[in-house]
This record gives sequence, C-alpha cells and structure tokens, in this order.
Amino acid sequence: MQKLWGVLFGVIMAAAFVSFAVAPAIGGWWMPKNVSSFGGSIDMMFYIILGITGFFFVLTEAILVYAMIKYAAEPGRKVPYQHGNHQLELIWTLVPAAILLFIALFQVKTWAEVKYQTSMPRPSMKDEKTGELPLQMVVSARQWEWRVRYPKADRLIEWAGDPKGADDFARRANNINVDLVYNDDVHRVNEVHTWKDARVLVHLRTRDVLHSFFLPNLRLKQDALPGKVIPVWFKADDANTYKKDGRWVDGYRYDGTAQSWVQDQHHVWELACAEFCGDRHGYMRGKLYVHLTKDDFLDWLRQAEKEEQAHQPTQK
Amino acid sequence: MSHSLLMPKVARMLMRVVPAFVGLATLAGCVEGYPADLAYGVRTDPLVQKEPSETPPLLDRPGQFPLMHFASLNDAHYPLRLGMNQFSAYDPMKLPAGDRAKFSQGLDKLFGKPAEPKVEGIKAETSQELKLDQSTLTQGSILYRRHCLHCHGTTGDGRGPTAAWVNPHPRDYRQGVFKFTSSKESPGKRKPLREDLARTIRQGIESSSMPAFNLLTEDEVQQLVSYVIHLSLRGQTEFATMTEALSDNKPSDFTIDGSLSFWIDTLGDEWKKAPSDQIDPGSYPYEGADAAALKDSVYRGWQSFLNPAGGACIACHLDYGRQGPYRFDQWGTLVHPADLTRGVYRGGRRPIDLFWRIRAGIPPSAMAPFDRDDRQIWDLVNFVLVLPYKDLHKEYGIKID
Repeated sequence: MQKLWGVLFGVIMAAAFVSFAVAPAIGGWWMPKNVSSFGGSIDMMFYIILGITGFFFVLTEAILVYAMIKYAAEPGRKVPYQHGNHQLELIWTLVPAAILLFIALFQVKTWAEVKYQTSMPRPSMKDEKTGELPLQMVVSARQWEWRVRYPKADRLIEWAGDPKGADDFARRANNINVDLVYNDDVHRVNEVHTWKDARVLVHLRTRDVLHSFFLPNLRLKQDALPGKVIPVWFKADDANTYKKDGRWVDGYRYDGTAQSWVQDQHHVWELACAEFCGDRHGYMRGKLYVHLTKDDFLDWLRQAEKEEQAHQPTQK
Repeated sequence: MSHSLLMPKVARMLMRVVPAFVGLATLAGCVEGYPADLAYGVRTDPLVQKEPSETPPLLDRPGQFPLMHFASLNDAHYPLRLGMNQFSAYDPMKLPAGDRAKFSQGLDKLFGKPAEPKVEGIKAETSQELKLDQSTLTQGSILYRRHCLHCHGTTGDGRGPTAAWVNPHPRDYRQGVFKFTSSKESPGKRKPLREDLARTIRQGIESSSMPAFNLLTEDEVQQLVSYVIHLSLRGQTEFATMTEALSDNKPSDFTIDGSLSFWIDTLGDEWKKAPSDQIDPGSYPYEGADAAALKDSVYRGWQSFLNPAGGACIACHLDYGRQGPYRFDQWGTLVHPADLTRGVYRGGRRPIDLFWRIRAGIPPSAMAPFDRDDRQIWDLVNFVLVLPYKDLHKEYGIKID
C-alpha cells in the first residue's frame, strides 16, 4: 500500500516534467513573443537555468521516488540508524554552490545591459548606427493607469539638430517635485509608442503607491517607486502598428516580402502593472505600439497633438 | 500501526473535498453579470435638497461618507451637521412602509433589475437616441458590474465598497447631475451629452480615482454610457418623486405612480435635449497666430483672472488655487477650487475642455459660469495652460509668487 504512494508521487512528478516539455508547443503556454533587443540574452539565461535546474529536478526526484518505493514502510521492517555521510554532504553542498556562483557571475552582463545606468542611452547622444537620439517619454503611474507624456514632434525634430534640448527634457523629467515637463507635451493614457529599432528612454515615476512597469514582450520590468524618477530603456526590433482607416492600430505584422500588413493576434503587446497597487491592479493595463518607421511614429504623434489641442467639439 | 489506518481515511476525505473545492473555484469565474434575483432597492440615505453654505468644520476621514443616514448627522465626527447654514434634507425612512413598497414596485416596473435593466415610460425616440434598448443595457450592466460597481455602487449611488476610501468620492448618479459637461442648459436641467460621459470613461479623471478605460472597445464604452444614463434616470426619478412625497406642500392629486411617470418622461426629455445644447465656440480666434499674439492673449487672460470685473477667478481660486477654501458640493463631498498651478485638469486638458468649464461653469461644485465673449474665455484658457510652467511666466510677462 505504501509503495502506491511512492508510485503516485512519481507519476505526478513525471507529469509535471512532461507538461514543461510540451508547453512550448501549446499556444499561449510558453513565453510571449520577444521583440526586445536584449530579450534574447534574457531568454538564453532562462533556458540555461532551466536546463540546470531541470537536470537536478529529474535527478533528485528520481532518487526520492526510488527511495519511496524501495524503502516503503512494512510491518516488521526496521529502520537502520545512520550517522550521515560527510563526504556526500560536502559534495552536494559544494557542487550546487559552484553552480550558483557560476549563475551569479554569468548573469551580470545581461543585468548590466538592461539595468545599469551606464548602459542607458544618454538623452543627447546620437546612436552610432542610426544617428538618432533616443526617444524620451515620461511614464507616470497612478492608480490605476499609466499616464504617458511625449515631447511634441517639432521638439523631437529640433533636438536632432541641437541635442542640448534633449538633456533639458531629461533634467526636467527627473525633477521629482514637479510632474510636468513642457506645456506642449503630448499627454496620453495607457499607450507607449515607439518605432522599430529606436532606443527608448523612459523616465518612470509614480504619483501614489508602488507600481511596476512590465512589458512582457520586451522582457522588461521595473518597479516605480514613490519619490523617485527611475530611468528605463529598451529597443523594440519588430513593429506591430498599422494605419487603418486613418487611425493607428496594433495587432498587425509587417510582411517584408509581400510588403503588406497582416493581422496577427501575437502582435498585440501589452503593458501590465506587476506590483500590487490596490483594487484595480489587475486591470492596470496598457499597450505597446511599435511603428515601422520614425515617420510613422511622428505621424501618429502629430495626430495625437492635434487631438489634444482641440479647440472645437469633436467626435472624440 | 494507527498511522497506516488513519492515512486511507484522510486520503478518502481529501479525495472528496479537493475536487469539490477545485470545482467551485473554477465555477467562480464563469458567471457573468448580476444575480437574476438582485433588486436595486429603494434608497435609504438622506435626500439633500440644499448643501450647507458654510465652510465645513472638519474634513471627512478615510472610510467616512459625509451623508449616510440621519443618525450620523448628529455624530460629532461628521463634517455635516443638521442645523448647518442652509442645509436641508429629507429622510426617506419617514415614508410609510406601504409607500416604500409602492416605490419599489413602481421603480422596478420602469427600470427593471440590475440583471435585466430597462427604461420604460420615455418616448420611443428618446430611447433610441439615448441607446436605452434592453440588449445594450444588459451588456452595459455586465461591464458595469465588473469595472464600475466597486466604486460607483449597484444603484450608481457612489457607495461601492471602495468608495469610502477614495477622495474625492465616486460620482453619485442619482441626482442626475454631472460635473464635466459641454451643455449650456441652465444648471437645474443640464444634462451631459453621451459623448461627455464617453470621454470621461475613456480618459478617466486625472487626480481622482477614476481610471482611464481607453482599453475597452468603443462598443463597450457606449454600452457603459447607456447603463450610466439608465442609473441616473432611475436615481433621479426616485429622488424627485420621493422629495415630492415627503414635502409638506405636495399637490392634492399626488400619487407615487403618477409622479414617477411624470419624472421619467420629463427627465428623458432633458437627456435627449442635451446634444442640441452643446456649447460650440466656433473658430478659435488665435488659429495660426504668431507668438506675439499668443503672448498678448496669455497676458490678457492673466489680467482677466485677477480682475474682479473680468473673470474674477482669483476670488475663488485664491492664490491661483493653492489656498482655495473647502466647501461642500452638491453630493456632500468636500471640495475646493482647483489648484491651477498643478497642471492637472479633472474634466480634460484640451483647450476646448477648459473653455467648457469656464463658459458653462461646474454648477454642482459651485463654479459659476462666465458668460463672457469667446475671445475673453480663450484668453483665460491660454493663461491657465501656461500657469503651471514657472519658467514660462517671465516669457509671458506673468508675475506670480
């Protein structure tokens, strides 16, 4: 009878392992599509750690199930008394310690690429390859929405000629006492817009409690702390935003060979809050819109500016 | 020994309990909308006719509503007190039980239950224009239960579970009064346009707990607008009829059903009329103007703000709103004139939104309308849009401490 418990345990462990193995093949059960420039390194680390832990999972559980079955309690069976095995204990302490040390050192490069301020694009430094300044925006989290502010299109064009303006924007955005930058900024809610291959520098702040700026498709997560302005950067290397009937919508993939846009449900990229912030934390969502080119982005930005500057009643 | 006898018993119990529990847990998320037998109920909180005009002695504390029931109105910790200047309210619990039953039946007949909302007693045209058909309202009710109920309450009374803990308290729709409208109708009869409500739902109200729902589809937003109008119609019909029933000088031929029918018809007309009352300022006088003209506009706006004969805005927005005094609004919430140096505008930050606030005022929270010519109001709008940015003041010739 007792052996049956061991077998049941073994079956459950095996089922857990199998479900992990088949998960990537089942739609929606594995990681969301990665469109981030550093997403590849993060995913690589995940797989390496998964491999290491998977190996030890199988090893330790197999030994455990074997022991549960072979040494199951029976009436009249006596338990031998053990003093432990010093050498074995040394091995199974030092080997995992070495592996953990390896992981700790191995991940530093990826962490530095994403989180260290020295890796972040400087507001006034042009990219060597594209010659573009980073796109700056202020994301001000509040219960329960994301208030996003972009510099207006003319300013972005002005900065291309005179980058000092970009530094000024960053300096003002980092003033914790004032949650405003320029009076002609474009204010949006729950929408993060950028364009393909643009480096984006987000000045993340919060107006009330802790929130967390989480973009699963960019493998990016950063807590927003009250009292701080925290820089966050990313670069999206795929686009999902298409101008349909004069309005920019997401959920589209650009087919380079056919040179046309195709609807794709995997191209709806979410922004979510990842730090519990109250009643509607689960509904505190937003969307990431990646335009194909800078011109497309500027077209959207100008459209948004016009809407925000309405002097007449409009439909929206 | 006892060990091996106990285990199968425990195991058997677990084998029954766990699947039942898991089954219940999975069912919990599968039911949409209100329970079929839930009724809106008849209101029990005071029917405020006039809020006090004096500055409140105390601020309401977190978890406290200013107007729950008459017993609280004598509580020393409540900011409102019976006997405060001009404060007048009726007690719905003073209605005889028979009358309350009549209210319940009459309102359910006209407005249905939360799971099956409807609006009867209005003209067919009105129902069509306001999209108050049953299928829209039912969809709206499901969405409302998921997204809005926890703050705005089942009857739209602004008393959901979360409501007592947020400041300002959520809107109570039952007086049929809304703050951010674009209609020029007189305050007693003014109703928002559908688009006004839709905008509030889409963009939220910055600096309050109302979030932006711009991730809902357009259809969902329109369904919610219909449901909010339904709740407001129900609430105001109930309010107006109860006020009549409790007043000392009600007409001799007063009946509850008759009064309910009168009010739903009248209010339906008021809502239907709103789009034709929208304030349309025509063309913006500074369209394509150069920087100098804008600079003059901002300067004139500033002068207007300060001038008692002009906008006289400074009279309420003391120190540009940084020292605005507290007072009660029509719902009993404590409010103060907005701090205009923060750059946060609850009713929307577009120039047209600010134009509407100034031109039409915000009657429920005692912001007077300013019937000036359009250019003067645009000057004020341009000034207000520059005011929060200290480094722009010098450029525009504005001096503020």
